[in-house]
Amino acid sequence: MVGDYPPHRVAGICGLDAGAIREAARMLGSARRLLCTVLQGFYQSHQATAAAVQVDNLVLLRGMLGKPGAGVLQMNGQPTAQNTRECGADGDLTGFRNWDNDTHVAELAKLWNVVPEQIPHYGPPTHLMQMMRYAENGTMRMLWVSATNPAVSLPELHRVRSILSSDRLFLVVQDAFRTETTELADVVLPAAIWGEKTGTFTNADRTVHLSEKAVDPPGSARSDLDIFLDYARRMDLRDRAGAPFPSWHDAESAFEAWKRASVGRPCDYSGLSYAKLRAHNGIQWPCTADHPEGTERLYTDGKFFAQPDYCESYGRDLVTGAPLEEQEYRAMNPEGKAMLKAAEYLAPHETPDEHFPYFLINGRTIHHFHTRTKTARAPQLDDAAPEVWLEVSEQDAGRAGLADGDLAQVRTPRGQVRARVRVGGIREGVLFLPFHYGYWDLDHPEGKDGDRAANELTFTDWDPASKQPLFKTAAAALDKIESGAEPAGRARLVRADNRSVTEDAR
Amino acid sequence: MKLGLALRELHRSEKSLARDLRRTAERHQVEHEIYHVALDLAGWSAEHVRAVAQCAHQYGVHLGEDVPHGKPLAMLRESLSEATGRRPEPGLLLLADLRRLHRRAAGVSLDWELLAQGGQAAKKSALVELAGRCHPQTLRQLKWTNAMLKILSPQILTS
Repeated sequence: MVGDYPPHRVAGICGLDAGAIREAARMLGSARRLLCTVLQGFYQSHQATAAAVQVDNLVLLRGMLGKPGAGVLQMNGQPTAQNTRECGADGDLTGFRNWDNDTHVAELAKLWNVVPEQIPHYGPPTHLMQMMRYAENGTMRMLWVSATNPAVSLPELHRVRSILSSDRLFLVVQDAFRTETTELADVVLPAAIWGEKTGTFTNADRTVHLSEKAVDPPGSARSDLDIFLDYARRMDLRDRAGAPFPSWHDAESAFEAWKRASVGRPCDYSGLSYAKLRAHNGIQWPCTADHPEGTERLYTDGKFFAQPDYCESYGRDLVTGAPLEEQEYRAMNPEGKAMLKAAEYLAPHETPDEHFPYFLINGRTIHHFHTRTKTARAPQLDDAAPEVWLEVSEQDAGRAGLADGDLAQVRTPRGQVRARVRVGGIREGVLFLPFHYGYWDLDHPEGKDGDRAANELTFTDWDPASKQPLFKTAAAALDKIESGAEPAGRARLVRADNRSVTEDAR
Repeated sequence: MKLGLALRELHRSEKSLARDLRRTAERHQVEHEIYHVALDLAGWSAEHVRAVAQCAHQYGVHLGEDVPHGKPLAMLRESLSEATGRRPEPGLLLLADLRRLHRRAAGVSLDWELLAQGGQAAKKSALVELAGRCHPQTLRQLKWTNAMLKILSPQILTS
């Protein structure tokens, strides 16, 4: 596959210089130490999983795993996302178990004392974007949103709002603060936030921390766990013996149950306890009786978690997203070795044309987390980046007659957003909008159908393998609305100097 | 020698698969994954049609290289999909479409098998090489239709 993509062909696809590609290859190929990290920029781009997997391939080919100064950190977008993957809160089966492995499902059924049919495993977990589609066509009538804000964070917001506000969808939203999504809810459940509840966090390098409750939650807010347990009790969920299900009743008893479920799995927590974490906070899994201090490095012996009977998944086709069948995987990888996977290039699903000549991408800024639900309520962070902006390259700004601080309108077939311009070092032909900004803190003339959120402009598409929505390809047009208050062309640091833009925006 | 016949048949079946993938995408524009992946996979089949036509030329068989787009009908299909996007009924139609696509892809796969076998026996390495390049993608199309049927059917059949 790699042979089909020599540097000059890749240069044409990526808009890079073939010499620079060779130079990068030489650096990666000859580095004495190689540590790679990947985040949302990869995961939300066209052919996202295929691209992220190539980073793993490079690290594997170079043997850069399991030793100091080497490794690969495929990071998560949220600090709790490592946990949710391990324990099954993302819809995967608990303890990295494989939905397509009947033995794994039977193990879980035994742990929970339920019949295996109670654990849906007739296909891969139904992902959020598919759930939204089921809500749209009316075959899913209830959606429970906990601690996220799809009315700002998902692509094609006009569509998302129309689904979430539909009369036939019963929408429960659980959050610490009012958000654009709580405004569409049938029921809002006030939730406690970190510092108001106890639980553990695990970060991308497998370090487990205990985070203890410091203060009581305000008003009628309760921890997510208490809310879900209360729901389970009111629904009278029971196991095979007729005992209340789940059997745990607070954070520590849930942790003990999770430990039992993790025994023998890659994320083995059996050697951990709240008492141990209180004494020595920050221990890396696997932590077992044999490794009571945890494990600093994985793969030191060149062994992987890829044996057919053990692996978390049989994998997917990186282009079609089709899950591999068990027999295919067994035939391909009987010994459970690490595998190199590749995919051919496909053109992006929306590309610039004469009417929409720019690529529009959205992403993050350092001052805000997700949709500003928390960060915009911290005055220092809000002051640092109070208003949406648009990054434009010098060449494109020149062509559009735009200067720093001018008000511009970005348009796609889905909608338009107005933002002050920052002329900066972004690539020619590409526009950038931060995705954080929604409407809860605006007395907006257009109400909920506004022109501030970057995702008014994105289209609905996701990576077929990971199911992550794509935010880095949309074709857009750019127009000037009005000149800024300041003289045009003043040099300004992008992203570091938000205050001067603040003044423009006001 | 009937290799020309095998090429002609393969050309016909790949072309009809490319068209069917496009039509299915258009009919189910509101099913985003079906829409985007089906169009990507139609692109593979269209490439195969071109490769087969170019190869067939050497055997005195003249075949078209393109799979023309039917623009007006495509727009009609997409509008219909939009109009019924909030109703559950098109789900059954989708299952029927995936089932038909799967059978079509299976037919194309068999045609590649025939061409590769004929090419080997006649020591025509260009044909074997062509089949070696395209047939794996046909098998992936086949697996995709099967996988989507498996993944989407529980919701459609029980709602």
